Amino acid sequence: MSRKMILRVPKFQEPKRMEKSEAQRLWLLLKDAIVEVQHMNASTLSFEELYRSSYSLVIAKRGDILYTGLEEVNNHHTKNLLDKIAQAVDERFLIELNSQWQQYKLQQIMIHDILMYLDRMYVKEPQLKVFDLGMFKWKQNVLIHSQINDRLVRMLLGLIHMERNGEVIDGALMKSLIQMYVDVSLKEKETYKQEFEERFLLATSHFYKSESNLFITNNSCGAYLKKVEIRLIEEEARIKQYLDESTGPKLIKACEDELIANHMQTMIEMETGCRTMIQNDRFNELKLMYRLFQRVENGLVHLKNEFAGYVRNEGHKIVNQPENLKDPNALITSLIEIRNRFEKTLSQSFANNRDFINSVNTAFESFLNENDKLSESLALFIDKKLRGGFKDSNDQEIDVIMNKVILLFRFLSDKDVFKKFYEHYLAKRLLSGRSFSEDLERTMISKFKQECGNQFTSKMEGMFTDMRLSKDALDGFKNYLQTSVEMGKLPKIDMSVRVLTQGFWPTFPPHSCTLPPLLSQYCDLFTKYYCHAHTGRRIIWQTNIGTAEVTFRLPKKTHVLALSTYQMLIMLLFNDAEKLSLKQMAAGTSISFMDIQRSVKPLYSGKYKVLKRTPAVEKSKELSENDIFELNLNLKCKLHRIKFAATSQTDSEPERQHTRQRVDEDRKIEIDAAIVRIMKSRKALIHNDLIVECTKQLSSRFVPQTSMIKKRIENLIEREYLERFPDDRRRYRYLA
Amino acid sequence: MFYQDLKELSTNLSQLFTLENKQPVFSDFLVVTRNKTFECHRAILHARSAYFRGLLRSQMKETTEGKVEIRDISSEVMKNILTYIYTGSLEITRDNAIEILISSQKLLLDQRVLDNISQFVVR
Repeated sequence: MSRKMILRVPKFQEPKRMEKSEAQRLWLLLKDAIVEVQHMNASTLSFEELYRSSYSLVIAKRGDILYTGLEEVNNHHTKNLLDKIAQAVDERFLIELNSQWQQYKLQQIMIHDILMYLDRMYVKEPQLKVFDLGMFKWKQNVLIHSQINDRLVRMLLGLIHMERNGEVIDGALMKSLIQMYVDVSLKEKETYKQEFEERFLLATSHFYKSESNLFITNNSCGAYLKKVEIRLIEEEARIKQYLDESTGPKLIKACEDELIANHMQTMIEMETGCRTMIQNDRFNELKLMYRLFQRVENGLVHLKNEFAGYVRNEGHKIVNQPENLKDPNALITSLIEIRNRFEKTLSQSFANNRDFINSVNTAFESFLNENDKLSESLALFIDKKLRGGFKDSNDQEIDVIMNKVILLFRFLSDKDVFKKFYEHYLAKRLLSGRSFSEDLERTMISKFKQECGNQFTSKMEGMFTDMRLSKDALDGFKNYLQTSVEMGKLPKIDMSVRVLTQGFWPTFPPHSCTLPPLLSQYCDLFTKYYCHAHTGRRIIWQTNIGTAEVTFRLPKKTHVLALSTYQMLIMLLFNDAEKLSLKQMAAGTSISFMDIQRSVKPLYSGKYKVLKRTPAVEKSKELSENDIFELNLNLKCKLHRIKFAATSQTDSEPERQHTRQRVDEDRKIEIDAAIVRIMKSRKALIHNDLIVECTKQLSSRFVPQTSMIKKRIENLIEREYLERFPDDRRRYRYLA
Repeated sequence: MFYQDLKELSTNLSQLFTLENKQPVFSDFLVVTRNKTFECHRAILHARSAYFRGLLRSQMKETTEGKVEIRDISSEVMKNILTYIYTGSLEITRDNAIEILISSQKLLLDQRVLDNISQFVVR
């Protein structure tokens, strides 16, 4: 394109060669005008004339005269201004500086407009644009001049210091003067940063260092936090009001460092600090602390650790409190209470921060498993609730409690122990008919199921199925009796039988006894009926967990006694004897002496005594084989029906031992299964890896002890599931 | 949705700047050439040309008098350029092209207009 144009254009508009004198004339005209502008006398000038002059000079390739001339005029002018400004004293200095600066800036815009053609068509890098040239001259001759710069910065910082101390200063003046540093910076605000910002930030750090040290030693942590918050708000406002926005993050960082980061440890440890706030549930103060700590690096880590430490400590106290060790209900209730309390702290103060929640959970995990009683306590707690403790709660409250139970359950590392206890107490509830509501039982179980899957609850559900099927079987049996031939010969008794599938129910230690002939005949009939209806099944009678009601005729009154099967057998012996020793009781019933002891105790030492010891001795004395008992014919009781405990309550320790043992047995099987599963898929494995893998697989149910895993490995080697590599004894091989 | 009708805008604005017969509407500034005076609007001149922008904010003689005398541009060319300033359309012929190019460069119109005129000139 350019070639043709160059050929044609000169024909039309060849600018006449400009004489040097003409150029000089034009420049002088412009120079005078610029000087007029600089003296604020622009209104009589003609813009068009000035513009045209500059245009003509550029067209005539005489822009250089104009540009260098301009530089000189600016130079001269700014030097004059310097003297004028430097003479101003005290606060007049800032005002004079500012008003000169404001005027200068306007003049530069005007000059730029007049010389716009020069600016667009002549100025080439690295020359400064017309306006920038003006700025540069101001910077060079005024702003960074030794008479101005230091004085100005000191005064600005002095004013900011005053404002921080509560005095009112002229924000607009500040803004204008600080903005001047930005305006004269040619690129990336370098003058502003070098000359002002750096010193400002230093002064800020200095100010807040001394203020915060002083304030925190003389005030409470809560007051300090509020002070910090206010300071940060003030600084944010300061940025908007008169600082360049690029300073914002740096200023806030400097404040946060001095006000928060440097005092975090103090705020946590001081007497009115974080610890006290957590202790006293000062949610608002903690919330503020959280918000402020969040702003600095690692701030939340400190706060979180402190909180988690407190949680762990509180939990530790609760699980080790002697009263709580005796009373599972109190223990679990307190645990639920602190859980609620900490959840409240988490939501009200710590914005439900994930990390905080996790660390609280970890703390719960650690103190809940400090004590091996928790599994049983939790099972007992639910037992009490399901035995009627829920009676006065509505559905929603029940759901809340159940969910809390699940929550605590989740933290247990030995879930299998809990499961055993839960099954144990569930069985007891079902067999003694003491469960408050089947619906609630099932709700609770479904929650465990959700948490741990089918395998965890299959036995529990089996128990319910058994209870239902038993009812059907009993109905069938009653019909059968009516049609049965043998029935005519027997006196009628009301017998109830429950058929429990072995495996679903906790195993009850086997006991034997001799039933009275009538009862034993009924048992045989039931066996016959049941095995006929369900071929291939075998019935084992567990008389020791049964109950019975017998009529107790006294000379003046008749009572019905609700007894355990064993107690019934003992009482029946008194039909034919007035006095019996324990030894004789044992002989007459074939019950072990220990069970006799446990069964007799409630009969003579409870509130209502149907037996008395002859001769009478102190209650506390241990029973011996030769102690003799007789019926208490003077029994005084207003009740018609008297219920007796099946055994004295001192039996819980052996029972607990028993449950523990069963858990250990089950664990052996689980560990064996896990080892075989792992080895089957991996074929060969080093000892440590096997232990790690095995622990990982079982962790959802319990935490196996390494020593136990080792024993199981040895056992599996003996049983030839595994073998050691001959050359490396630390490695095992799976034997198919 | 997005609706745009630049043609209508251009027509409406051109009615502000009618040269024959009718009186221009709300005019507040005069552009004077050797033999013609154009009645214009500060706002539009300010918005469309860097030259006029500088002139109108200078607070020099022209702004107080409400007129500018531009002696180095002919009235035909000024008419063309002002029409462009108001409507965005510019009529260029072989005869006026060079003059329009030079004048619009002086008035610092948009660089793209200049490029387009140059291209026309070269053809």
